[in-house]
Amino acid sequence: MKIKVLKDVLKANDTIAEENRTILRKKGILTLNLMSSPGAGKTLILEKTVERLKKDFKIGVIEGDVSTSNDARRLARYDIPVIQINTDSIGGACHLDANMVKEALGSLNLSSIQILFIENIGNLICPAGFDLGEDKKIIVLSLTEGEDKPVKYPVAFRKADLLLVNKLDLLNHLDIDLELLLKNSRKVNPDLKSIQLSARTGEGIDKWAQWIKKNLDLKKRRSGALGS
Amino acid sequence: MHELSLAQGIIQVIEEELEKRKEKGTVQKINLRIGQLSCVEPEALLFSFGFCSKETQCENAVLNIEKVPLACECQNCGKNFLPKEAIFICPDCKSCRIKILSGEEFYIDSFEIE
Ligand SMILES: Nc1nc2c(ncn2[C@@H]2O[C@H](COP(=O)(O)OP(=O)(O)OP(=O)(O)O)[C@@H](O)[C@H]2O)c(=O)[nH]1
Ligand SMILES: [Mg+2]
Ligand SMILES: [Zn+2]
Repeated sequence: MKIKVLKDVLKANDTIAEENRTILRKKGILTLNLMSSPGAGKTLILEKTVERLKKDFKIGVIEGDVSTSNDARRLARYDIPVIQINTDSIGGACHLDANMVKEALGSLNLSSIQILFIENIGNLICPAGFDLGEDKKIIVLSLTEGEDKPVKYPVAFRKADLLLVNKLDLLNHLDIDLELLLKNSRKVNPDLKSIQLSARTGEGIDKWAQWIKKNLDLKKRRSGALGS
Repeated sequence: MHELSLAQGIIQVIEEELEKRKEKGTVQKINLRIGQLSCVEPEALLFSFGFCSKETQCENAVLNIEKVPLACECQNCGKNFLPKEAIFICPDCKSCRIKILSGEEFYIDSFEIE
């Protein structure tokens, strides 16, 4: 006997992601999903960002790693709520999915968070396929990775809302063509905005902080409009 | 890659369907439609499925995978086309503003039980 199912296996994730999005919208929390290959600098960027914004905003972080809580510890030093998700206990997944984030949301006090950062697993392929309920997807690409990455990993770049080009301090030490890198990223995603920065020196962090504030304002206005 | 979670997802969906129908038989075959862009390695999926399906009603099921080609629509001129490269450029107007119509899905089409 043949039974028709016609079900998208990935849809289950999207349904939970929408639930997360609804919860986060009600609380007016701006949620940013940071994706990159391993070592592009997500955690160091977050450290610098928290340092910059924590005076004025209440920040929370969900840290995704296959194993260890090293990154969560680096961020917990700033005295903000940090939840570590380790995927090795759940099959070593190479990406965060909406259900993991849902569980993490359950253990955060959402009333005391305005900006929620989610650091995804270091991987430029799989995380792009999984909606978490975030407002924006952010790709971090460091200059040491080469200018061809946007065209080699087009799926992630196509879905991104912002590209952070990190390790700008190394620009003059490398044979990298930054213009070509940006051109490649626009080939894949013509609307992709980019900000160049160095988490090491702090150059460009201001611009990134402005981008976050602008999006938080937008989100507040929108959820305000919905609430009334 | 995340073939392991996909394999678990398949089994979960099928078990729900069996439960709904109070069906106790064993699953012989599962027909999947997998988009070309979904980055799924059939080999890894088969391996993960073999591992996850142990002691379930899917234990002896064969996975029959049908690949769904990538299809795009140009947002500038409306042309539908099948891109040949990973970067999508409209063959007519050369625009990069492209919408993906199919090729990202990971569908269970049907399954067969005995
Ligand atoms: N020179 C330079 N080094 C940087 C910069 N940002 C990060 N790094 C270094 O790059 C390495 C990786 O940084 P992390 O912040 O741990 O990178 P990550 O993306 O969080 O890595 P995973 O979580 O393992 O995927 C560390 O040694 C950082 O000190 C930068 O702007 N310039
Ligand atoms: Mg990190
Ligand atoms: Zn066109």
